[in-house]
Order: sequence, then structure tokens, then C-alpha cells
Amino acid sequence: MSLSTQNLTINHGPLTVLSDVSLDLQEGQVTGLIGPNGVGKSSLLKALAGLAPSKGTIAANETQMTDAQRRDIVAYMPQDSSAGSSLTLLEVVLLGRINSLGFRVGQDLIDAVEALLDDFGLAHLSHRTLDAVSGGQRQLTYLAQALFREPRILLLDEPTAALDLRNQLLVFETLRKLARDKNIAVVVALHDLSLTAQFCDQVVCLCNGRMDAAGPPEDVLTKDRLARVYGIAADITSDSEKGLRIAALHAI
Amino acid sequence: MTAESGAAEAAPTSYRTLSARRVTSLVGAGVLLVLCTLVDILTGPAMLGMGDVVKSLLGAQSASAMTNVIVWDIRLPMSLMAITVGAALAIAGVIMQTILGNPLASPYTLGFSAAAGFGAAIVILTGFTLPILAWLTVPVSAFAATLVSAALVYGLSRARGMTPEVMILAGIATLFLFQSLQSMVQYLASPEVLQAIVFWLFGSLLKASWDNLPVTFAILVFCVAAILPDLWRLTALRMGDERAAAVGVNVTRLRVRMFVIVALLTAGAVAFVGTIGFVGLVAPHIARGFVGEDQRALLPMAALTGAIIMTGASILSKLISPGSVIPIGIVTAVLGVPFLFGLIVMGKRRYW
Repeated sequence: MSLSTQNLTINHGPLTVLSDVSLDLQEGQVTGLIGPNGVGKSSLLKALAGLAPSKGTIAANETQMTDAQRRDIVAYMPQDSSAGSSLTLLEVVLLGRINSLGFRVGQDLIDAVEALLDDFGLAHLSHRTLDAVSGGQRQLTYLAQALFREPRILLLDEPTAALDLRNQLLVFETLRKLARDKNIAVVVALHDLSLTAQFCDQVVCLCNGRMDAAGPPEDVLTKDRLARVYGIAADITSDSEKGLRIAALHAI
Repeated sequence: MTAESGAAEAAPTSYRTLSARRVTSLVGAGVLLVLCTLVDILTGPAMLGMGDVVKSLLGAQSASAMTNVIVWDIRLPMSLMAITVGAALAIAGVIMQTILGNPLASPYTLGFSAAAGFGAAIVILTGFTLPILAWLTVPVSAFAATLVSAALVYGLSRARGMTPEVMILAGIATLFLFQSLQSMVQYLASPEVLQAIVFWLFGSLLKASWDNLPVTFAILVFCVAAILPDLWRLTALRMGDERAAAVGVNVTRLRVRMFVIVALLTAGAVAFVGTIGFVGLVAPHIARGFVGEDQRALLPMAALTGAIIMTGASILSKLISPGSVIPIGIVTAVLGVPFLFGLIVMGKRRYW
């Protein structure tokens, strides 16, 4: 399912965080959402998920939808996974389908949760509590929860922030495969420009309360833009085999 | 992935064994409650023989009229009230700890018990009685005051979005308000009236009867029925507000709904027997240690645990000084604290 916005404006009280954002998020694609800290990436994701108020229109498959309607087709994974809890990993993933859970939970559902946990190497921890596993494992658990919702649109806020390099690759490979196989639109807010270049089909760059650019990585991730948006001098190389490579050299 | 898959086979437990363990805990607690209740009915200042009590309970013809009165009209309502109040306070405690996200929360955190105490004290002081059903005056006043305090907390917190922090602050303010009002009533009261007020505040099962038991029980049943559809949403709330909202829970509405239910449950529990402390704080923690956070198991386990603590305290209150019954509100903490300590020291699993 595709998701598009027209002149979206997001306010936090009297403060305007983002204005006039017009986006087109294609199904089957992974979109990277980049921009400096505090630019409004999380606010945009929350608004898209229908969990924060916004002005303007948001449409899924070209049909305009209310916040409540969007909540049913979207899975949104918030950023912070630091807080532990005495829920078990299995319970957390199971809660992804909270709206269809009955008093009795069938074995097939449990098997599905355990298969998903296994995909992220967490099967042996299914009955551990969240506060007894590492921050990265918590992050993977919440990602599994978002996937368990079987969404048409997947919105992830820094899903790889606490992960080791292998798991970062695992997550992005999983997301790309998911987008292709299930034909869903995946949007990922992230800071790692190399991962962005490597895995995203489209990049949306936010800067100074506006959308600065949207397009394929090679068009958006340019030396000039990175200098302007982030204030970094970056070395960008591109070859047909390895694609776009970005190495940030120093702050300017 | 093979290494992790291999580890999965050595998993400490499967969902099936986890469920089995929960059922075992629930059944075990149920059996323990039945045993405690029997002992509770068998003990009392009247020093009846065990055979006589059993005979009376079974409705045998040979039981004496006096024994029948003691067993059926005094001990049985007291025992059943202990179970009902224990279960109600424990359930209210679970819900309060869940919606406030705070292990220190109890049914009384937001000032409900202070309000109930004030409601009782003011009518005891003024000697006001309801025109009909005069015996209901004190409970009705306590009940009404509890609901007033709930409305106050709700009104104050609504202005700032019903977050746990705001609710706790509003609750503490309400608690102090009603405590001060209660103190003022006590200060104004004559020694005899003061004694009546203090005795009410202690909390005692001696006030239980076949007249008020059904009221408390009906409130419990109604509230449990109102909680059941939200069990999964309550479980989800333990992930934190943002993540609960992300899976589709309307957090504010859930919190308001549960807050009203806790107010009702607490008012129903304390209106007749007075404020009984600690059960609502401790029972949820003990239950959590046995069955974990899944509210489908936690709620019944807490209810059973609360009932067991109350019944145990009831037995103890009759044994401490033979021939009399110490108010149970004094005993619950004495019994509950060692339980909690034991759990904290011996529990392997972090349950909060």
C-alpha cells in the first residue's frame, strides 16, 4: 500500500515542527527518512501513524484516511527501547495483534510469534522478561512486534540504533525483503547514511522544518546537501558493484 | 541462524509449560484459600468445638441453635466478606499499579481511603442518619466520599491529559485534603464519638453481615465484568504509554475507564468494613511473582492472593488475643510484609 501526504504541517503546541511536507511513499519500497536531530523525523512518523495531530491530508492508496483509519493498517515502532518491563518477549510480540487476541491464545499464534523471534535470533529468550535482555534485543523484539501486526505500511523510528553491525544488516535485509514480498511501504528514520545509501530505494531529507529533498539515494545524498543539512564534509563514492558509499570525514 | 536455532531447543520453558505453571499456581492458591476459609470458620472467640461447627455447616439437625447462629450469622458472613474484600482490594491494586505504572501504587494511593474515612467520620460525628435504611448511613457516606475524591482527582488530572504523574500528584493532594478534614472531624469529636470513628478507621470484619455482603460482592462482580474486555490492553500498558498506543490502545480512555473501576471497587470494599491497608499493595506483587505480567493470569491470581491474605489475617486476628477479635486492618500488614520480603529475597525473576 502506498502512502502520500499533501501540505502536511505538524505543530507541537505553538511551535511549528514541520510545514508543507508533500511526500509519496511507494509500496514495495524502503524509504529512508534522514535529517539532523530535532528536525521532526519522529513527529512526522507519528503523524503518519495517526498517533499525533497534523494539518494537511494523508492518503493511503490515494484514498484520504483519518488518523483512526490509518492506525489499523500501519505499524509504528517508537524510537526509545530503553525502558524494560516485566513482560516476556513472547508477550510483547503477541501484543502486536492486540485487537484480535481472545482470552485463549491458540498454539498456532504462539508458533507464529516464536518463528518471528527465531528470525531475529531471539527464540531462546521467548520467556525472558524485557528487562532481563539487552537493549539491542529489546529493539529487535519491538521490531518483531511491529512485523507481527502484518501492516500494509511500516513506520520505524531508528530501528537499528542499539544494534550490532550484523543485526543492522539483518534488519535492513529483512525490511527490504518484506517490502518486496508483501508489497508494503516501509519508512525508516535513521542516522546511518551508509545504511541509507545501501538499503533505501528512496531517501527523504528533512531540514529546517521543511522537506529538503526526496528521491533516489544518489540524488539526495550529495556532498553539497550533506554539508548544508548536517554540516559535515563527506566523501561520497559510487561504483556499479557496491553502489553508493558515504564516509563522513569531519564537521565543518 | 543455526546457532540460535539450536539454543531454542534448550529454551528454559515453552509456552505450554508456562501456561501449565500458571494454572498450577491458580489451582494451588484456590486450594489454599479453601483451607484458610475452613480454618477461619472454625476459629473464633466463642471457642466452639470443631465437630459442632462442621455439623452446623452441613446443616445437621443435631447442631444447637446457638452454634447455628454463631456459624451462619457471624462467622460465615465474616469469612465471605474477608474473601470478597481481599479480592476487591487486590484487583484494585493490580489495576492501579498498571495504570499508574508504579509499583508503590495501591487502591489507596489516590486518596480513596482517606476520603472514605472522612465520609464515615463526618456522619458518626454529626449523628446524621438516612431516613430509610439507617444502618446504611455510614457505608453510604463513606462510599459517596470515595466517589467525590475520585471525581476530584479526575477533574484535576484531566486538565493535564491524565498522565500517571499528574494523576499521582492530584491524588496526593486529594489524600492530604481528606486526611486533614478527617483530623478536623476527630478533633471536634467527643471522646466516645472519637472512639467510634477510630474503630471504623481500623477496619474490622465484625461489621460484615448478610445484609452488606451481597452489596460488596455485587460491586466486585460488576467491576470484574467491566475489566475483562480490557485484559490485553492492560497488559499492553505495561510496555509504556507510547508503545501501547502504537499497537492500537487508546491509552487515555483506558486509564479513565480503569480509574473509575478502581474507585468503585475500593469504595465497595471499604464502605462496610473500613479501611484495610496493605492487601491492595502486596497481593499484586506476590501474584506477579508467581504468574508474571499477563493480566489474564495476574488478575485472578491477585484476587486469590488478596483473599488468602485477608482470610489469614482474619484467623490471626482471632488468635492473637483469645476471646476477642483484633480489628483485621491492624493485622493485614503484619501478615503481608513477611510475604513480600520473602518474595523479594527469594524471587529469581524480577517482577517489576
